[in-house]
Amino acid sequence: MSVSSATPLDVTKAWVQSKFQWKRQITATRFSPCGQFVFAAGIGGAIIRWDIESEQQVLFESHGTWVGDFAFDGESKRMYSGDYHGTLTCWDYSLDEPKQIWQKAGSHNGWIRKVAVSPDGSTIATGGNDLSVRLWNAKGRSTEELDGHQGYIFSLIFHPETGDLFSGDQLGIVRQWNKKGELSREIDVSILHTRLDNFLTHVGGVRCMAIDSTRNLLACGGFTNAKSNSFCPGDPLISIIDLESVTEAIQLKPVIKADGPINGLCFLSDGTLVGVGEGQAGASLSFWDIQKPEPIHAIKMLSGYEVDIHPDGMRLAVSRYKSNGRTGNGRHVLPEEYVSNDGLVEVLQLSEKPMEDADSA
Amino acid sequence: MNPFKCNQPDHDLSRRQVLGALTGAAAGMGMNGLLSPAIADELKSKRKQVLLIWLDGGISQLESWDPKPGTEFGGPFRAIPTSIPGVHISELMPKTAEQMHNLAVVRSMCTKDENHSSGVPRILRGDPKNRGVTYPYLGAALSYLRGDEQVELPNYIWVKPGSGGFIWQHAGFLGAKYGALALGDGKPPVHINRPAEITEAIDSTRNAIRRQLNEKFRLGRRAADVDAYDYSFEMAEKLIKRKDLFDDFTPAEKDRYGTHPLGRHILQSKRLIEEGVMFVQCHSYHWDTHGDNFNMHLDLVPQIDKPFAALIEDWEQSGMLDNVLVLLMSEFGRTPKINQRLGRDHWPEAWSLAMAGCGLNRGVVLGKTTDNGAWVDDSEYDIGHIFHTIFKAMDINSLTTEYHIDGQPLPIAHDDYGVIEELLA
Amino acid sequence: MPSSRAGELAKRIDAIIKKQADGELAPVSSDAEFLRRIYLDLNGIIPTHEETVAFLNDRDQNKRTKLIDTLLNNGRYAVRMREAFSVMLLERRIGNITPVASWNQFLESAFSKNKPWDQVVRKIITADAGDEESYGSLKFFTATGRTVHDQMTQDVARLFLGMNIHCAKCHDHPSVDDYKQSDYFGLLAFLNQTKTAKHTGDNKTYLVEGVSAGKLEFQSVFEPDTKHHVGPRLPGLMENDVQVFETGEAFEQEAKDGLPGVPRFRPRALLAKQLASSENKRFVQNSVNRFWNLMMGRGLVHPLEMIHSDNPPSHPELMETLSAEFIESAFDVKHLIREIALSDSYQRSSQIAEGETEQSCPPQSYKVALSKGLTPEQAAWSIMQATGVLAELQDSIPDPEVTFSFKDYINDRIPAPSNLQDTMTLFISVFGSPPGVAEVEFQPSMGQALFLMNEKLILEWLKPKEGRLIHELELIEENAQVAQRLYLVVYSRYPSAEEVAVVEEFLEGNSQRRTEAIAEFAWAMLTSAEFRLNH
Repeated sequence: MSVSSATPLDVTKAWVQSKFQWKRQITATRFSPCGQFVFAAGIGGAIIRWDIESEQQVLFESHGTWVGDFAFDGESKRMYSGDYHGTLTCWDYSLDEPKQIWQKAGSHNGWIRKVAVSPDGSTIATGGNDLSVRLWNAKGRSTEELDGHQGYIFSLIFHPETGDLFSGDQLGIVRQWNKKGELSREIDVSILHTRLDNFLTHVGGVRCMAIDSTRNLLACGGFTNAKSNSFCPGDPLISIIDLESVTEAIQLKPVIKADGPINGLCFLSDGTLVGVGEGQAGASLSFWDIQKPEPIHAIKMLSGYEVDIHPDGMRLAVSRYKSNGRTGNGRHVLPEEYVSNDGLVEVLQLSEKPMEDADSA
Repeated sequence: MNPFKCNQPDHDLSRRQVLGALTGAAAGMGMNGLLSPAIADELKSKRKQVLLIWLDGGISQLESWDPKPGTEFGGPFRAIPTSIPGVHISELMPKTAEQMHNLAVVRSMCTKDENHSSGVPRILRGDPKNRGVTYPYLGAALSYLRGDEQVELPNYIWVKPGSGGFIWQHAGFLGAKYGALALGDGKPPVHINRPAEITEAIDSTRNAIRRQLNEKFRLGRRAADVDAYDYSFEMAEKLIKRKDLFDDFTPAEKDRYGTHPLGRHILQSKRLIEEGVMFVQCHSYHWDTHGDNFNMHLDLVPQIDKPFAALIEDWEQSGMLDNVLVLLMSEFGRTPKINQRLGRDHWPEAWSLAMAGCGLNRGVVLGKTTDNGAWVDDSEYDIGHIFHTIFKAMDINSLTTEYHIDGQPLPIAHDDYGVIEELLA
Repeated sequence: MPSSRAGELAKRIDAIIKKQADGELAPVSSDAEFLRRIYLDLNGIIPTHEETVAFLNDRDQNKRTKLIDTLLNNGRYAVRMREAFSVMLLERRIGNITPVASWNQFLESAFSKNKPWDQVVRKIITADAGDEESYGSLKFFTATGRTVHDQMTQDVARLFLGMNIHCAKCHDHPSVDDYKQSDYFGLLAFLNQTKTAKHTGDNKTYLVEGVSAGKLEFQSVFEPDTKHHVGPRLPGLMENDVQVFETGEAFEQEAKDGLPGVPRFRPRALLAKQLASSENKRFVQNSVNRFWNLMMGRGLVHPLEMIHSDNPPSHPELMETLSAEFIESAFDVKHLIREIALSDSYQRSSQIAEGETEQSCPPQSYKVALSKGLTPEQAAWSIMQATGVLAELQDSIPDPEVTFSFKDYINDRIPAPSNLQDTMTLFISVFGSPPGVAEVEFQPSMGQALFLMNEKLILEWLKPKEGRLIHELELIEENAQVAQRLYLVVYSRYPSAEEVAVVEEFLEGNSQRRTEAIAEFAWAMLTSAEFRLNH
């Protein structure tokens, strides 16, 4: 069902148009640049592609372990995906059957947590646990290794205008690299980092980033004030950095209570920032106008991991947790009934739901 | 290291009585009480000790001893080969992997309690059959059954983060005397140093009067409080004599074991065992990763891998492992199923523990879990089995030995279980 | 209260205890046993030498009753009760939002004026801005850690209802059937609008309430999809509707002086009324249980925080009787304590009767009196008094330049405490529990033994200085007299002939160093079980 382009963007009217369910938890989700598909990946090695209209499902299966992230280049119809064993794969995402173009094991020493593709499609950036941001060309040849991070790399994003690369790490530091692979600046967002003295671990970090090139803003999402208890709860937080002055413009917080970090961020064409977070008892999908810390609209939901905006600017893909039977301590179910929790990708329409439409989902 | 550095004259006498046939050599010792290394070794070789390293909260078996990479619940970590051909453990324990040939790992633990507050005491007591009495913790039990009056040290020391003190509750029905001396951060208690004006002779005299007064007071009264109070002084006296237990370690040792709390505490526990303490329990508290399990285990598992592997290697080389039983465990494992904070919850259904030394078979892995790691596939073991096995390794017959409390005979381990024969030679 | 009723409850207590006891009850305590015990329980300190001699030599048949009344109505009663209840209610939590002096004053006034217990608890739960007399009661909710709503909920449940529900936050309690997740959230709903605000006029911080948004939503972590809702509700009592108002209608008083507006609907005010009420059976039982434990050394329900149907009172009829009496007397604390003190059950000896054994006299039978450890405060007061340093410490004024902290002291950064307050702090640091941990059972630790053995301050107190015990004793020529005075001062009783002989023998054997020997014997007595315990 298509929505007339005349229907104005109104996040407060957001409604779930489609739901795509998978048998494992989904952490990463994106729309393909052509707008026809929504992709998802996470626990388990499969990358799932759904045709948004027909809901047909196709599996891209050649990763042997969790897929941290994947990203696209629209022109070449390429998808680049990275997994937790450090393998990077290149696919043609658009064909009826999945087609793998190349695969490089050992692209990283350990987890690839994030993949990003430059606006011109020429460069792929990957980052993860080995602390090095690596750049590749479309053929999979390594072009640069950008070192200096001292915490796991959690997020990567290219500036849509300048092509600069931003990498954010577990210690709350964002490094900005120019197209020559040089470090231009370091931005301190360490409010998003907590060191747990009991556990001797670092938690939080810059979990996700989004860029509004019009206003030259960098949004960094995560959580702060994490506590040393088993659930590692904290206060979800988004820090908006003005890239001109490299100062923090404002801090945003969701209103719906949650104790986990903000995991996914994206800007809408009208400048609204969308964020999704996780929590032990669920969290929310929230929308901010960035004028004030509170969102202008929020939808309560179970833990969310990623949010992406459709090329048409009117639809969101949100990946979130879906419980499958009882979770928690102990057995409580028969062995046959003990199955992993599911993942869900919801496609939301960000405009008023049409009244009499026989096709509405 | 010579464990018998005591100065009491009558203590010296009782040791000589023990030595019996060795009186000739011992006669030349003098009042000082130092034994020649050969004799010390002779005695040591007959004496067994236990070091229990407790990872409170539940370390994930899938991220340590029983990885299932590439399966539904397996998580993102890989499995690496170990020094036992064909056996793999999590990539998070590379140093321990090199010591597997010294270990006995049980992967098919299946216990009953999924809660910390009740589960921890149950496991540490061996979860015996409920007879309406409070069983002692393992350390207290062994204190009672194998406690050694000849070593001038408490039998049961608990090295833990946070505060110290005397934890009489561990003793259960055995009585406060068998409780644990807890050393906060492994450090000596404050006030361990006697003021100059109190000489050993004065201290001895005044405490003798104190004990005499307590003996009189105890007559015809409920004993528990008096006993507990008395024992706290007994322990204080023992510890004052052994301040050297808390001397600093060499930079090489600190580097090898790590300067993080668990590393330091395992190193301190190692010394306490080497100095003759019969039972040392070393506690670490942060393993309950309900949230962010995978990121957390990335940082947590190395904290045990490094010092544990160092300990096993060092003790194997020095021969200590022959007579010291090492246990590494938690109160349960973690759920294969991943929750909405990307964490794992409690899983007593199928979990793992590791043991080494004291006559146990080395380089064995017992028990299997199903392919998805969620259930035990064969040879299900309760903590009761482990207790029977521990007692046997300590030369205690767990089937015939009983406690006698208020006239009631009580088995020392769960009636329905027995020794795991495959673990003992 | 009418004197004709005095003692009646005591008799009923004894009847119930006797009925349920199986076998011989221990005889009534000796005068010396009773004397020391009642001083410690009602005044928090052992009797002085003079008080001991006076009582033990008094021929009055009613001397015990008279002593009880004296101790209940002197200045030390309120101090002792404040010490005990401060520890119970604050659990050594500190914090500087509400001054501890104000809190102490609030509690002491409540006890010395014998305010009805339900009124005292109501003040603790609500104390409003402008209520000068009860300002200190705010500390219950403003002490370190208490400003967090979950902590408030858990501590109100434990301390005022005898329910430890912290395991019922994420799901129904795993092992106690009575404690439900809805109990937790029902209680939280009374408290989660509470916060602190500073009054711009007097610069004091008060408790205020925000506007309630509606019922609380919660779900079990085992069934996160099933949502439940509950309004403010005490366990076992009716749920309160949450009144929601139109914007602008929610306040009955506008914001002013830095304090927010007072809402029309105030759940914490409701909590005060409904919690501390004769209608709230759990509150009455928990209160009675705690006063009983204070005197008897064990709750009728034990542990004190586990009142539930699978853990019934040892004497259900007694629990009922005491509860009914407490309500009928309008929550009269002194009356309750007095009746317990008058009972044979309280005055029983702690020496097991002939023919009975420890096994045949389990604690809950009360066939023999239970001993209690001295609280840190009782130990401090008693040791200071026995060694004769109390007067000089009470007179000494704290040095404004030096803030005493235990950590600084044991690391040799500051000198030994030389005034009462700092000395108390030292004793509390050694003998008390860490903040947030209840002090109920006697838990002697090796660290405390080391303190008594090696702490230089204790040894200093045992030096023969003017006004101190050892100096007094060294001046006595006859060793037998030394023995008598030692026993009267330290143990609050006369020594037996055998005990005198022991002292004599020891001093004769140490005639070259007599003063030191006296000090050593005194040390042994002060660190012995007979002193350390309240028996």
